[in-house]
Amino acid sequence: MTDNNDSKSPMTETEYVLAIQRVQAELENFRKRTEKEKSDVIANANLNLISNLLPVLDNFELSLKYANDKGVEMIYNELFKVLAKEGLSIVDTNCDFDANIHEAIAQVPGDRDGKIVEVVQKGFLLNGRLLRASKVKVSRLI
Amino acid sequence: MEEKANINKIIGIDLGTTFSAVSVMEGGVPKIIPNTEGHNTTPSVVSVSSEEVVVGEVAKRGAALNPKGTIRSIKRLMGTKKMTNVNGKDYSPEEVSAMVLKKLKKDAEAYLGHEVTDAVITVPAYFGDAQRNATKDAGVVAGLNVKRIVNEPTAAALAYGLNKEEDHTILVFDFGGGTFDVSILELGGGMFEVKSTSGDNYLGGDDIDDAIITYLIEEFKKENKYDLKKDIVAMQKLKEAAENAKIELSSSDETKVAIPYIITAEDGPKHLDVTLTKVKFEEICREIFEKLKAPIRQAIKDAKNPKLDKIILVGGSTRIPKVRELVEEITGMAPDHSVNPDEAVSLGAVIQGAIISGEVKDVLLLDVTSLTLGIETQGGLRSTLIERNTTIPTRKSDIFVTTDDGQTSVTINVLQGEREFAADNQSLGEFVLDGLLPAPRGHAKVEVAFDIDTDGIVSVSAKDLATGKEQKITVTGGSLTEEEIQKMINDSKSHKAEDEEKRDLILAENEAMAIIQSTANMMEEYKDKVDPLILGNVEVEMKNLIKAMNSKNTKKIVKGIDSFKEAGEQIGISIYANAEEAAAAQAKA
Repeated sequence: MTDNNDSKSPMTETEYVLAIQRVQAELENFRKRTEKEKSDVIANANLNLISNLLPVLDNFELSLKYANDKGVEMIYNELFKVLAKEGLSIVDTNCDFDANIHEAIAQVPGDRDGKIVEVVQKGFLLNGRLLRASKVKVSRLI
Repeated sequence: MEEKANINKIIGIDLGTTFSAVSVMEGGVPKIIPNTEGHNTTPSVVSVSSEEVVVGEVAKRGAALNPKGTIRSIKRLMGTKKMTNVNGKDYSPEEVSAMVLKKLKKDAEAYLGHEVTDAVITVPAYFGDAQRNATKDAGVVAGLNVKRIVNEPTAAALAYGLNKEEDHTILVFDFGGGTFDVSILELGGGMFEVKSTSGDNYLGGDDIDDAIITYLIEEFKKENKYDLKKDIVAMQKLKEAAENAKIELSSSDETKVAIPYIITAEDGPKHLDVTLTKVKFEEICREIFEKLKAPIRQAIKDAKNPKLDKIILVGGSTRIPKVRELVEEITGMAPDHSVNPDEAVSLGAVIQGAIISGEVKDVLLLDVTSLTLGIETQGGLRSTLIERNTTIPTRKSDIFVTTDDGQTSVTINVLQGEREFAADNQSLGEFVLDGLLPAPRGHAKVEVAFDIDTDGIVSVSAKDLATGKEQKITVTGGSLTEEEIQKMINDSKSHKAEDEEKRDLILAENEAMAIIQSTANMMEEYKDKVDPLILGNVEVEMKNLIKAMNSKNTKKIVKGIDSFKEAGEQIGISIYANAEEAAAAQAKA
């Protein structure tokens, strides 16, 4: 149960040249990746904030479901409009189950396999990136 | 050339029971590769159906629809011949592990933008030959050239920067999502030797979540008489809330678990609203925490009670303060948790990979400065040039001005340490730059440059920008022991507030002195051209400011400076007004 270390022989000139080339290439690749990461960061700057707001959106909806207050509905719509402007969209559930965007929480008997029969919790995308899968119940042919 | 350089890029893989992670070396530093879903760890979950194989988060989401085809914790079966049958086809543990590895390989390739073939994969220290070979075979099936199988605690030790040339004994405490391992390693002579291992294969953070969920269900039942266990949607919400509460309680003393509309009863919707204190949390998890103790003691005993030099923490559940306390309680030593516990093993695997490929040996292992470097400035203050933890080699320079009229020399006192005042830091050396041309204060400019080479040798130079005259000194910054450095850092933390107060006072005094001096000069020059009333007013404010300085009260001095400045400005205003009047009168004439 030992992890051996590797021998340390002195490096030749060729090895040094190769090492420098490698470092140079890596720096170049690192630069490209950092560029990409930077643009991703800018595109998703609000990701954390909006992720944390999702439960609030859920609860807004629930409260509307139980107490249909026109005023609250207007506030909710206003909030959603602001978030939509930042790139927030609702995951489509008007389709068959797709594990890339949906999370199955239960299977219920139905006339065929894979149909979404109930949305338990809405899912959201931010600029096309999945923030939260929508939790759904899916049909199964019995 | 780029292609050639990339060919041997080795990835490091932590193939875990519940989660896996993959890393790569970037500029000599190990870095976790996020998966295509944007997360740093990937669930070790595989979903096999007639159409396709999916791995990770996607497999987890579809699990409810494919209970028979969803395979979790395959690591527990490694080295056995137990097959998993899905849709009439048998899958060996190697094949299933290979699916996870393939996903990690693909994610690494997407991140790096080129093919990856070489990998180092970690396994628990207690894995025998059969399990190690099975892991290696899984790598081969996934299209990887497995350069080495490394013990998880060894990888963790590497990630924590431990040097195997030095002799010491460490304890690795690994408490993850589903498993718990304690290992004692002996390092030295270029080897890591596992002296003992212990643990619990079925104990992890998931058990803690379950304990919180059970508590929340009980609390809800007390008030509402409903059993949330029966409601699948409520249970989903509870699971999320329990995880969040656990995370929150790692940094605060209490948290509010609030789930509005958790259930709809005949008499209307119900809300869950429970305050969970840290004390309560520790009480409901007591049984789990208790189970951590015996394996630690066992591992120490099996290693024949060695003198431990260091304790390191691995696994997300070690973020819980109580867990750390418990480790400290048993070992008598505060554990090191400076590396992200979810990532340590994978990061260590890629460091091992870099040692094999020679990457770590090739590129200079870059060191950092352990303490801040600077020079002494007016009022005994320390002015920072190079902050601690700066990667070396590095060079930094700044321009300083003289503080006295007619000053012809400056003394450069090179300081090392974290305190605000020169006297509280260590002086590494001192030298004088003379021959400055006499000028009013603030006019002569001296450029001070610090240069640290790869060996940590510091050269300090001071150059008079007017004459180009230069002086320099070379000192070694690395003469302190690890303990001395730690003491200096701790001292700076405990004296921070007091130091800052003292520094602010001196800065205010310096400013007051400077403004008194310049205003006095102006008054002398224009005393005949300015309204005596204004001059009198300035004198009053000056006396007030001097009084404030005598009081040694920073706030009073700052206020005094403001009033004095305001009064002083009147001199300038009145001079300009007089000049304009004179010009107008001349124009008229």
